[in-house]
Order: sequence, then C-alpha cells, then structure tokens
Amino acid sequence: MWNYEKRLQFPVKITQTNPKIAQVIISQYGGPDGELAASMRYLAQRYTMPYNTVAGLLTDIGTEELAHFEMICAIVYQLTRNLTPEEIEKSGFDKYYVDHTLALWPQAAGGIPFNACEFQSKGDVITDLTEDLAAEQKARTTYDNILRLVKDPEVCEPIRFLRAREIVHFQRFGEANREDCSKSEHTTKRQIWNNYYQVHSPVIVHLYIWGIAFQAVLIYNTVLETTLLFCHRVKRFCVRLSIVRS
Amino acid sequence: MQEWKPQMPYMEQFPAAMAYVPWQRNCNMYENLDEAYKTGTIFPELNKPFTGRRVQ
Amino acid sequence: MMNTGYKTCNVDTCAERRRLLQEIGKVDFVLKELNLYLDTHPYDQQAMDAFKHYNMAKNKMVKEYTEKYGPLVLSIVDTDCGEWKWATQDWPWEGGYH
Repeated sequence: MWNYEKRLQFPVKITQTNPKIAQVIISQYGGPDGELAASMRYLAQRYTMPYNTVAGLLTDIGTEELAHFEMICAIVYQLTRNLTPEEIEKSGFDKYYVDHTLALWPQAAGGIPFNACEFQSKGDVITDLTEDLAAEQKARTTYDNILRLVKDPEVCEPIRFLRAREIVHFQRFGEANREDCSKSEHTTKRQIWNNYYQVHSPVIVHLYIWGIAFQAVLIYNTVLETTLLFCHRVKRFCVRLSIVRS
Repeated sequence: MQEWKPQMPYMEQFPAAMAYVPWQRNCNMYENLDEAYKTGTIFPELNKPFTGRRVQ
Repeated sequence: MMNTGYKTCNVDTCAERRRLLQEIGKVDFVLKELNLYLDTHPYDQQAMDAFKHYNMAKNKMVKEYTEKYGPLVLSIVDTDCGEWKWATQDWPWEGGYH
C-alpha cells in the first residue's frame, strides 16, 4: 500500500509559462520512456521477482518514479497555467488544448497516447533487469534532449535532478543483476562474515594474541614442572643407590 | 560510510553473456547535503552531469 | 506571459516555511538514496546507522512543520484546531511553498 506526502520530491516553482516546452516535457509523463511507464514497469515486474532484495528495489524505485511523474505533471501544469487563447494558438498548444483543455493527460510529445506496450514485464530475472537498465538510459537520454531544448533555469533545475536519478537507478539495477548480490546464498553468508570481520577485526586480533601468550605460559609451566620432577626423581634414585651401596 | 570492498575478489564468479554494472566503489556521501540534493545524488561517484550543448 | 497562480502570504513566514520544507525535502532525499543503496548492500551497518540518524531528523522536522504550518502526512496531523488543513491548504503542484 502507499501513503501520500503533501510535497514534491524536488521543488518545482515556475513563474514563466511556456506551452511550447510543456508539449516537449509531457513526453516524460506519458511517453515511451516516461516516468509513468517506468513506475508501472517496476511495480508490475516485482511480483515474479524471486529475490527479496531485488523485489524490494523494484518496489522502492517504482515508488520513487510515482513522485517523479508528479514532478513532471507539476512542471507541465505550471508551464500552461492560466494561458490566454492567443498564447495557446500562437504556441501550437491548440491541438492538445482542443481535447484536454489545460488538464494533464499522459501522451508522448508527438501526441501518441500512453500505452501499456511502452513497458515490458517478462517474468525472467535477467530479462526484466536488462529491460530496466535500458529503460533508465532511455529516460536519461530523453532528459538530455529536454535539457538541450530548455533555457529557463526554473525548468532546468528539476529536470537535471530527474536526470541524475536515472543514473542512480541504473547503478542499482546493475548491482541487483550481479551474481554476488542476492542470487547467491553462499556469497551472502560470506558478505555477513566479511562485514562482521571488518567491524570486529581489532577484537579478534586482540583475542588471538592473548590466546597465543596464554598457551605459551601453559607450555612453559608444563615443561618446567616436568623437568623439575625428572631432576627430583634422578636425585632420589641417586640417593637410594648410594644407600644400597653403603 | 566506508569503501565497500568484499565484492572485488569475486570477479571469477561472473558468467559470460550477462550484463553487469561495477559495484559502487566509493560509498562516501557529499559533505554538503544541499549540494547533493541539487545534484540529484548523495554519492559523488554517481554524479555524471549533462555536458551537452543547449539551443542558443 | 506572466503567471498569476500563486497565492500571496506574509513574506517572513513564507520564507521560513519554504526553508523548513526544503530541509525536509533534503533529508528525505538522503533517506531515499540510502534506501536504494541498502537494497543492494543489505549488510552495510554504517548505512543503516546513517538511515536511522536521518529518519529521526526527518520525523522531528515533519512534526515541527505540522505544528507551525499544516500537515504533510496523515500520520502526523492536528485534529483539534477545527480545520481539516490537509484538504483546505494548497496542494504541492501549485508550487506555492516550494
């Protein structure tokens, strides 16, 4: 289940409307590599993901993508707020306006409506994670293209933030795809030991040194006692021998 | 957070014909978290900003 | 093409409110990053310690924000003030306090 937080993940406050650039940015809402497709992709894939940690990663990134399309929608909404009919006509926003007025509707920049074919849910760990890696790079490229087209710093800041998130997600999906992350029980146990050793290594070394010292003392004592006992017996033997002779 | 090294010796465990991304080596966070928030990541190693040309 | 969608408010409280909201956003962002990091490094105790630290800091700030300005989450909400501010106050996409 989900809870809503009444704030955006990153501030969006745009003071200059620009319906032309809004038509470009809306692609990251309902376009082929948009945030809506990303969120639905990860949240759909997680049910058949056999590894708990990777299913968790899909849930957490899918949740973050929900916050991202909220930001994209906020950008588009603020870029088209209170437009006059003249501005709408002049900017070429009229083709969107005629069907949706100034409401948000998921479509690509070219007007193609959002479609579930824009993401894959294949039910195979390697296939799904490789799909996710590609999806993050496609989204990053789309943000690169948006940054090439946008000049307004109020729009660039949140777009740059969203672009950086795609790179972090790529890194995490790549780590999830490794044999030694969650797919190998053996390595997981080794990781626990490694981590334990890193934290406790000074204590372990300390105990080891004291153990050796203690053993050395024990051995020394035993050798000394045995030697003394032997000398004592030899002495007694010699004494007895002298008594017998005399 | 310190460096995360234990995975490095396991290179031989990677089968061919699969895609891997190297482990994040430096897990230190930015000292200045305002800068991290603006950048879009708290890990300097994952900061790969856009350097392309903008329309004039 | 000037925009007139923003509501006016007292300059001082507005700046303070924006600052606190920015701080909450920053700390929550650190939590999100640590969350994803821990998903692929589930035995990193230092990252978990950091998560605990920032989680407590965030909860404290959300409480302060709720007391001073209004609710951010339904789990921490003032029900004794006679106004359901969750619904009566602006929604985040309006951009008012960001």
